[in-house]
Amino acid sequence: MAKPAKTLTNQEIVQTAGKKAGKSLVMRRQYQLLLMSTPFVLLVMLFSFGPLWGWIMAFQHYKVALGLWQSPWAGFDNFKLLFQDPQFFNALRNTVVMGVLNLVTGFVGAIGLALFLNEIRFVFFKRVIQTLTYIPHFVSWVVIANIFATLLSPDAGVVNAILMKLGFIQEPLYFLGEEKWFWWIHTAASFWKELGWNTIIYLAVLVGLNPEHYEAAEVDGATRFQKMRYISIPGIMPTAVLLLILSVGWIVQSGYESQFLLGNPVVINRSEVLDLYALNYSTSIGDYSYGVAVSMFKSIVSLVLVLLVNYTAKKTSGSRLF
Amino acid sequence: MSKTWKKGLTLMAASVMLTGVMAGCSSNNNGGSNSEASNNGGNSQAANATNEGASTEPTKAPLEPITYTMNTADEKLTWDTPITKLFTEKTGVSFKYDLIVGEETQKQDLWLASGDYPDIMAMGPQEIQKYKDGGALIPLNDLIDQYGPNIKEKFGEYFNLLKDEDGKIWSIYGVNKSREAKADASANFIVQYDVLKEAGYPQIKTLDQLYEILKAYKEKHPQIDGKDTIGFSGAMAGWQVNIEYNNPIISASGLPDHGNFRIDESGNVQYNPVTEDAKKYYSFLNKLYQNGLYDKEAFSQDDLSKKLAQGRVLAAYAPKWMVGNVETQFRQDGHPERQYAYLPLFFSEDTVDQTNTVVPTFAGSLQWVVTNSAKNPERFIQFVDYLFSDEGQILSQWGIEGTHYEVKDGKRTLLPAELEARKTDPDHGTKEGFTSNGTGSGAWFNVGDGAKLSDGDYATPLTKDYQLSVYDDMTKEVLAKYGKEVWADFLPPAVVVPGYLWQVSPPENISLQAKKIEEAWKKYLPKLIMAKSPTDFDSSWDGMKSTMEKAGLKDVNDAYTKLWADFNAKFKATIGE
Amino acid sequence: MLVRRSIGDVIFSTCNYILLLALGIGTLFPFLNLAAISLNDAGDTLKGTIYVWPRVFTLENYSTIFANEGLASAAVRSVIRTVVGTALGVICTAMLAYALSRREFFLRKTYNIILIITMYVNGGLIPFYLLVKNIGLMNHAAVYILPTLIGVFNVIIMRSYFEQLPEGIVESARIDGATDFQILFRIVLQISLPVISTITLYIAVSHWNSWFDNYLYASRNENLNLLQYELQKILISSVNQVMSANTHIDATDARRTNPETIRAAMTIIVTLPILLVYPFLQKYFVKGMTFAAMKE
Repeated sequence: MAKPAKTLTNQEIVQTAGKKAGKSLVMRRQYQLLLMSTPFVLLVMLFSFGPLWGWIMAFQHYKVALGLWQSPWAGFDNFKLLFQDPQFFNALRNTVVMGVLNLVTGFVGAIGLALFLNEIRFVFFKRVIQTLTYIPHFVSWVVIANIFATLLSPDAGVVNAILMKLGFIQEPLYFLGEEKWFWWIHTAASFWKELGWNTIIYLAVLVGLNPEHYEAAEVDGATRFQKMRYISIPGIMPTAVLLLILSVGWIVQSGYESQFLLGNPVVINRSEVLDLYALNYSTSIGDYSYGVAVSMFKSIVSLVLVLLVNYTAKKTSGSRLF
Repeated sequence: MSKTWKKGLTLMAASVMLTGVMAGCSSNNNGGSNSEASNNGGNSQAANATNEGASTEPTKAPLEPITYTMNTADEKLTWDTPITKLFTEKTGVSFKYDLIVGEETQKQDLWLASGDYPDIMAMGPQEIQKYKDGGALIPLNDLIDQYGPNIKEKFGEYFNLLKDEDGKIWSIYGVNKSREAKADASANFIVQYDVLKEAGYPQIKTLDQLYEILKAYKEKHPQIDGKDTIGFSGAMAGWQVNIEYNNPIISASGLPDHGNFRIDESGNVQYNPVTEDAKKYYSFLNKLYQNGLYDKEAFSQDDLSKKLAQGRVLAAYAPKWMVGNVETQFRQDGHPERQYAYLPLFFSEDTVDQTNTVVPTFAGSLQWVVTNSAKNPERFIQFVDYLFSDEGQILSQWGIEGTHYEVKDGKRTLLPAELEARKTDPDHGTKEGFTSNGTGSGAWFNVGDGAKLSDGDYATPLTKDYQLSVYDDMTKEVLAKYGKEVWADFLPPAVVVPGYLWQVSPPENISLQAKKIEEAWKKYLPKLIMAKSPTDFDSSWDGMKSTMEKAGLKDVNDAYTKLWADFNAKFKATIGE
Repeated sequence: MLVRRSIGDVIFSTCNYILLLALGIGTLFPFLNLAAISLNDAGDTLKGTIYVWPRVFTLENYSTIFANEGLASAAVRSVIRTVVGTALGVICTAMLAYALSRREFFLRKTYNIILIITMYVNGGLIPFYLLVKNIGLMNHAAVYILPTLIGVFNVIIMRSYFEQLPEGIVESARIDGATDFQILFRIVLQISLPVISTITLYIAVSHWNSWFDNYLYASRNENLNLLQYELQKILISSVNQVMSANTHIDATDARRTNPETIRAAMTIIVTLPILLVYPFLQKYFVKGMTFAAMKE
């Protein structure tokens, strides 16, 4: 992006900001920026870092009745237990696999849909479709899981009926009752649920792109695909990279609702994710410490992933978080 | 019925539900046991501190109004009812409910952590333990001594069961004066009326006999209403897994319900799903599966009643509350023949049926405690004492004379208008004030359905006659074919037992092992039922067994054996047997 | 604008329309399905296989929900919370995002790193609950606003949009003596309507849908009960009713709703307003934007 010459004055100030005199000068000049940001950063810190003393619980056998001060210390016992449990690694694998599948399909789907919607000139149609695609986002997982169970039922489910009519299969398939289907079903359900919602931000960016670029391209006789390739895609790229970095950090923080509601004992080897594991072996048996240990592990993995991806993105695309 | 059921469903509704609380989820019996055998010494420091607060307060005139706050999970509960207003008139006490619409344990933990709890709380033994350890509860011994003559009178020889190991009374709950099963009790294997009818109403006692009539019916009627007939169904995906895959084993063995455990004659406790009887039951399901009689979808469904509602499930294991709604719908649709008979079924003809048990107290997942934020706790005890009095029992269970019931030929009878209202308005009980936070069985510390008060009349309206009045014609006809009047008649005479294992606070330090074992069970269940051959079945069985053994099966069994032994020792010491 | 259409263009357009139409129908399905269930008799719904049309029509599910007294005032509170919370949220997010988008701001990097970290760490429920209690937010309306005032994700999205705006606009305003506040509110926001509308939608939806903070931190103050919380209560009570089937107060015949149909009606009740309001918001923003573009 081209920078006008005038920014230099400010950049010079930043460069001199190391010295005391320079800093107070900067602060005086930038007091409005400080006012705009500091209170909110402090607020966010209060609600995010304030409760972090809870991490101490991971090194205790925390009991609600005793509170933090009187609960017995456990050293690294909780972490030892965690890292010795094969089930934990199985849950980690499931979390990562489903996280990556969601990430990839979600990104491709959302960007693709945004690009296609952007090509629609008939505004009413565009708006209706856009609104319709949001709907599943507002429907709770309980309902979505119900709908999928009905559609995929081996007993008069629509999907099996169609596949049998088309002659692909002879016997109905028990989609929800076989391990090998679970990751795909989960990915499909998540994809369908969030597809429309994920496009919102890309559509906003596309709308914000300078219309002159498109007009100029049109004059030059560019085809639709060329316009997409050379204007739309580069236009949403910075946002996409940013979201990608953020999402990579969330891969291990998958929640458990969707996996729990779509899953069942038959597919538990593929459906148990970290959050479900933590719920099973921590909250539901009253062992808060173990859950905090899992949560700490997730936080650290997230941060490491974000830093790594951010670093790579900085090197390769110039887009970054910080 | 245990309130933990509700908790289970509530959690499900909030979709934060995991597999139900092990103990609670198998608690489809009425009544309960002594919970005070919880396994730790009390916190005497806390007890002293709270005692002080209790006794320094001067006793006030009994009728000065006082309001207590109390937790509840029942959104409709209110003090604005004719019956509760009379309570206030008599005792001056009223309640303000603090509603928990989400997961109760979570919020109760948060309350405890922040010292923010209500005056009076209804909760299970595990939570009570936490609150006690946190010094949040007031011991009730002195208060009951001074202000609870009716409590003492009703508990009688069982009074000491209220006491914890430290000799303190931390919670109060109902006492069971009835020695028979409730009139609405029933066995839990269900078979469609039409199946019985086609087979000529045979006396069936074993699972093999059930298999034969299911097979015959399905051969004759491969479809019902255009859809495939399902011989037997279940639900493995949610918290109902315990009901569907543990409880039937206990029932078919003719044993009393101790949750996911069974107790042999010498008092050894065993995790039920790996016993030889469990193997027998799973191979029965496997046989059904292999012969196309088992519901293909059982493994991924979480609510059996939805499947039952389709009218094409011939048999299942289902407690009555799961089937009630469904049967109403069948009747309304003009298909009374799709309703279910509730039959006791066993592994063999000579299984001895000991399933029908009663316990002396209603200790269970809802006991009432007084926290140290309650002012004038003696007023609360006076209130409870009023409920324990005969006058209080009649008011809370039968209602107001002339409004809800009348005395006919010396017997209390619900008025026709009241009966009608109960049938047509689901909220009637709440609106009139019959409903309270659970007290172990029913509401307001009732002394047991079928029990009699000192006037010789029934303590509650739930009698055989009442039960008969809600049956439809077809049900009466089917029952008549078997020479019975109500489903409870299929049950053997009730045996008094000291309590159930699931009502005692589970042992500490084995919760992780227990959870791992439970997970192993759920993982292997589908493999067992869907096994393709006997060798396949056996290898899954061995796999499950060895996984559980590795996870600490022996530790868990031993811990529960000790728990049970301690509990019984205390019971004997209390009763002086 | 002159549009020349090639054959490829026409084929592309046609396929595009068909594809998007199919998608729209696919995503409309759950809504129709829920609408059908919400209008269907509860007992009949148990049998399953209702797709997009009710089998036994009834309004019982809605009348059961609307019979609850607190519902109307809770709905009003929800609207107030959504409007106030969204307005404050968007303004504060914009300020923070603007400050962080200024390359010359000397705390920019520090703040960025702090904010990113906050997104991925979590101290747990108990410490958070105690914090809310200790700073006096328990059962106070501010608990709906303060903890969620700034969504870091939203800040980053907005920041990145601001960073892509032509730098010349800000700098020339500064030369004219405009302060940062003036630049943000008079210029930057005017030309950032697409991202503002997106963030508005994000924040509004999260306010509208939230009930957990109501349940955890404000359930003892009846004047703070929100629509979602009241609906949860109705759902729970419907679940409780199923369980009372075995008690002697047996009104099985009278139960005309069940958790499934109540849940369906609930979803329709909370989703419909969003679906109805959003197109207007969108229209307003698009108009605002073309207006702003013309002013330049």
